[in-house]
Amino acid sequence: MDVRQEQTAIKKLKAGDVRGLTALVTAYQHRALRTSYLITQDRALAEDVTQTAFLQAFESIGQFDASRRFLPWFLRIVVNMSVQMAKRQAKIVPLDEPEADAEQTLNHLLVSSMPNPESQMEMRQLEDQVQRLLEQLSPDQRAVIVLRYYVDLTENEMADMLKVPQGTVKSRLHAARRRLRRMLTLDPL
Amino acid sequence: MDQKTIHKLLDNIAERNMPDSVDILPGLQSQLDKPIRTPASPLRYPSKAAAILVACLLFVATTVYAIVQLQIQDPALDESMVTQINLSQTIDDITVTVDWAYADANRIVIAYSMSDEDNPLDAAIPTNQLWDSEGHRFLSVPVGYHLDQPLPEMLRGNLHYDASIVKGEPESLDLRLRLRGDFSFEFSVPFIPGVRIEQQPVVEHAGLGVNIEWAVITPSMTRVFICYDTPNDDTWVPSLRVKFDGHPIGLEPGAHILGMKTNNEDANGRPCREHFFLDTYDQLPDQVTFLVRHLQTATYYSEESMQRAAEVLAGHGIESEVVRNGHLPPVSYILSFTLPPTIDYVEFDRIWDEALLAAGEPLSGESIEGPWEITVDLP
Repeated sequence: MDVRQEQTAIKKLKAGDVRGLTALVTAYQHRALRTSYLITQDRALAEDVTQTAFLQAFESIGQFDASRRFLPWFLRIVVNMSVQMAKRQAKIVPLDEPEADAEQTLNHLLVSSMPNPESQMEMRQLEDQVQRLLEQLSPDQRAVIVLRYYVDLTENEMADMLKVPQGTVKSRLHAARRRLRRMLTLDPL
Repeated sequence: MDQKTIHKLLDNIAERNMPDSVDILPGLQSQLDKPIRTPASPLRYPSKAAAILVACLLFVATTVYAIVQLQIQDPALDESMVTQINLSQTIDDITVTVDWAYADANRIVIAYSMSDEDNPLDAAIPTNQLWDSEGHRFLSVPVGYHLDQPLPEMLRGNLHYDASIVKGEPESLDLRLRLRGDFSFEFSVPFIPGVRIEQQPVVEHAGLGVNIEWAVITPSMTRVFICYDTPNDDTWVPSLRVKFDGHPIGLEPGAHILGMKTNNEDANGRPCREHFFLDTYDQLPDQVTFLVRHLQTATYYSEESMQRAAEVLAGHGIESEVVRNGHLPPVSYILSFTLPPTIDYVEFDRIWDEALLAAGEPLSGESIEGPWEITVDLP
């Protein structure tokens, strides 16, 4: 969706025309669903979150500055909602996979010395391992990893999105990286 | 490992678990309680869901909840068609019960009731997911949301899912339902296959072609996918009627629903729309007729127009109220009313045409008169 199409959709939405929302959902639902999935690690929950986030965006579109792009504003809703829902869900369905299982994975994922995967098979193996690792992190820690490495935000932008001080983002990122490294280094590739 | 590769890793993980085939639009649209400004029902009801809710509230005002009685609240289902489930779960003082279920080739309907003394309105439209025993997820189908409140702390509603992903003609479906993220139910429900009508030849009128791509008839719904030419790039929608052996179906309030997905196209790039008709039959008809009465764009009426239409309805004993159509521009008006039991829907259809005539020219909107008619003999 280019800027002009997006502005047309926003204009419709602000005028109460639901077709504006349809256009935005069609354009951005997969980005939102995938961001939410990476944080919640639950497909059904991610669908719920994204659906609810679009409804919330619809209700609060009046507060949206139409001169700015929609996606960063919308992803803020998705990320915050995903963290909240994942925390709530975690209380109901405890993650029963012991941390030790995740420690049997790859080495040095987040360090520059870790080589890039060279084959498709290697990439796929890494994906499986990274997915298991993500499951071991807290929703807050997953959110900072996802915002930094998937949404590609700077620490400053992350602080703005999560409404926390930049120092908190730094410490959460540090804790997430440290935890990942600790899990990875026990059984290197 | 560089940042680009980590991004690619995360992207692949996310895409594998959230493929492009996942579409939240149908579920989202079914949750929008705001009327969708499409021309299929510009003024008949302020909102189908709201109209049904009002009707339900009136109904339950005389109902004592303790009486064991199935509440169906669906224009195409009755007690003899559904399967009682009666499964309950209580978590944190909230009790959810799956009351009954129904499944055919068009839709799966699940009725639930929920007690949440703290904040019942929060539970009004619970998050919900439905899967079959192999993990295939059923998407919501936007055929209305039936909700009532038999007690202040009790809510009851029906959930509707698209059953078109069911392969073959199984005798029953093993289902897993998750409500509000916390409540999980497993149950089976008998499955009723449908009669499918394949693509029909194009019929022409006024230089524009219309054809039925497919239709599926089941005891709870007739679902039609219709494609058509338009005179320009505006959003045109066919005003479609379906007749079983010459008798129109789906005339009851809320029983004819226009699919909300607007970007459907056929192989030639012509727009297509889905229509749902919630109606049942004693036995399958010999013939089904698809009648497009006119093609039209979104139509909005002034308050004065609606006053004139209301006077026509009043002349037939139907009390109505002129209400603002939504709170945002463009400013337009619709009629809100409950049909008296003495007037049947076929008769009302005629009265409604009379009221529209009295309403006069709309504030905006175009119409091209039909008919385009397609009749199919059923096996």
